[in-house]
Amino acid sequence: MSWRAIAVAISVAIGAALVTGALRSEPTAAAPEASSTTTTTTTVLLPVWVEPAEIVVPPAIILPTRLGYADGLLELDFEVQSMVVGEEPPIRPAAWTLLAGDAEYETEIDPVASRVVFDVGLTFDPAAITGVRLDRYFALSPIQADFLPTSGDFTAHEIIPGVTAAVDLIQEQSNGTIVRIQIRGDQAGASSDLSAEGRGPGWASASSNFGGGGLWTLSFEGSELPNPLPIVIRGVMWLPLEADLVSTLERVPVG
Amino acid sequence: MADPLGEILRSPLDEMPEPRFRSHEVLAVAIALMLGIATGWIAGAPDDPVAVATTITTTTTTPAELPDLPPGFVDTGLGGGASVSWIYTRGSDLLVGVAIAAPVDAPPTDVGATGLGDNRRGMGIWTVHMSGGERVDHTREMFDATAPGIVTVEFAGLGAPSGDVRSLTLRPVVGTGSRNHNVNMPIGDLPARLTTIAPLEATELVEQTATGVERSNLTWVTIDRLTIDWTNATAEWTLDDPGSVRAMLDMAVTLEGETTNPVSLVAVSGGAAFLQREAAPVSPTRSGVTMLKKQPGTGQADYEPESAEIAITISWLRYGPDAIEIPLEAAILLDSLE
Repeated sequence: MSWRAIAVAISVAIGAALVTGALRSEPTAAAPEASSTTTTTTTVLLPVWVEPAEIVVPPAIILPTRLGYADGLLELDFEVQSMVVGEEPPIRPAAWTLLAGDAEYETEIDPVASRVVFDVGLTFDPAAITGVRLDRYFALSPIQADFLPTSGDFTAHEIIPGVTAAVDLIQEQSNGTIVRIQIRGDQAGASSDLSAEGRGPGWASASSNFGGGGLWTLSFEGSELPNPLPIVIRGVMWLPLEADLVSTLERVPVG
Repeated sequence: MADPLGEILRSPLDEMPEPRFRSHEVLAVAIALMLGIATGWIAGAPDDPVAVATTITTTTTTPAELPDLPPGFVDTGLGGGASVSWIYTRGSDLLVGVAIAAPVDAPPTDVGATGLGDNRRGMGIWTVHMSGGERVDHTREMFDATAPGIVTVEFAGLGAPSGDVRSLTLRPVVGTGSRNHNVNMPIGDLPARLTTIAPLEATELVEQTATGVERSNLTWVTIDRLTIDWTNATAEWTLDDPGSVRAMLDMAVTLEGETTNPVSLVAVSGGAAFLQREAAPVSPTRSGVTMLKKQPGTGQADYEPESAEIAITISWLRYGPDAIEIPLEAAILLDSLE
């Protein structure tokens, strides 16, 4: 080997060492294999007051909670929640319609129930359900109404939607007159929270019978009973309301 | 002389110039190159490993806060929202059911049935705006603890169908208070009729100034007529305020004379107490009639009454100037009753 080849080999070795060492000791951030980007997108559902399956019936919301189908009967369970925190909801659903394609199945329920049952038949396909409609409900409402029956009138008068009042009895006493008023409501219990009393001078007391039933006895002290009788009916009553409120039943579990 | 065999065996390559490096020399240079690279690789290795630069981008949709009130409700400033639920007419009276919703973060104890707490006397002045342009203030607000979240507002004598209602506004209560007064009036034979009771101060605004206390914005109640007999009394009263105050008037009358057990008459609450719940509260009004009855256990009509000691409590509500429109898009209209 010539001296020239030895010199070239040494030069090549030194140069290669310098270049390789320099390249290795100064990696650049821009090198494509030296960086990476991870993008994560998180989808957050915005809070809403009312879900598509829920029905707003102020001051309450009806929440369908379960659908079930067996033996030709389709059941829908629901809850009624008040918009007023901590209070019993003053809404009672009364009539529903199940929507299934072109078919509709109507039914009425006990207003205190929390389940509605539709008789849809054994060939019914639950996949055809498109929603449910609330057709009628009762809303608990404070009320005060004047009832002014004239002398001799013992007929029932509708004083509030769904509530009637009538003079049931007039009986003279030694120092006055007893007047009995009958309050009746369309719905069972509708009249139980309504009271009757006389307004003006002479009316001494008003009391209801022990069994309820909306019968009130008023005592008038005086020689001449007013005509018409100035009776006030007040309290709370279940107001019947027609509705057209649809739930899509979206995400309501079937079980 | 030329070598013939060498001439024959001569290759054209024999004419090529002598290579600068022979094969063993090239091999030596290649080995040197590899050694140089290896040396440089080792010498140039960084002391610490270089971290791989990683950029993580997270895109998160910030959740919007849940609105305080459900859709369709407007804040009344009374601790809850309101929305018209139903409207119906009864004779010439118009009745409007207004639903109340509590804010999402309202503790139950702060809400009650209507957002007014237990001592519910009214939410404000409700005004109904009719299609013909009329604007009518309410005559009565009806609340009941057993009907949470609903107030029935009455517009007596309006004489218009529910479909004529265009809007409903509320001027909320901004202040409440009460004033007590005692008046002694001479009376003769019963029944007595008193019409000269001086006007009674109902409300005032008290302001501390540099020079002292200034009283302003007074409202007065006038008892137009007070009729008294041994068992009943009736007080007819009016408020002189043009529209920002309504009141309730409670009263007790003691018939003083030569007796140790004078007859007392107290205001009738209107509640039928027997086996019943508490009577619904009385609505504040601009004028009214307070009925009194003889209090059981007090004296008999066996003495000559000389004067009437009259104790009066005026409870008042003051309303703000700004009206809030209550949504009625979801209201259910009922058929009119006869």
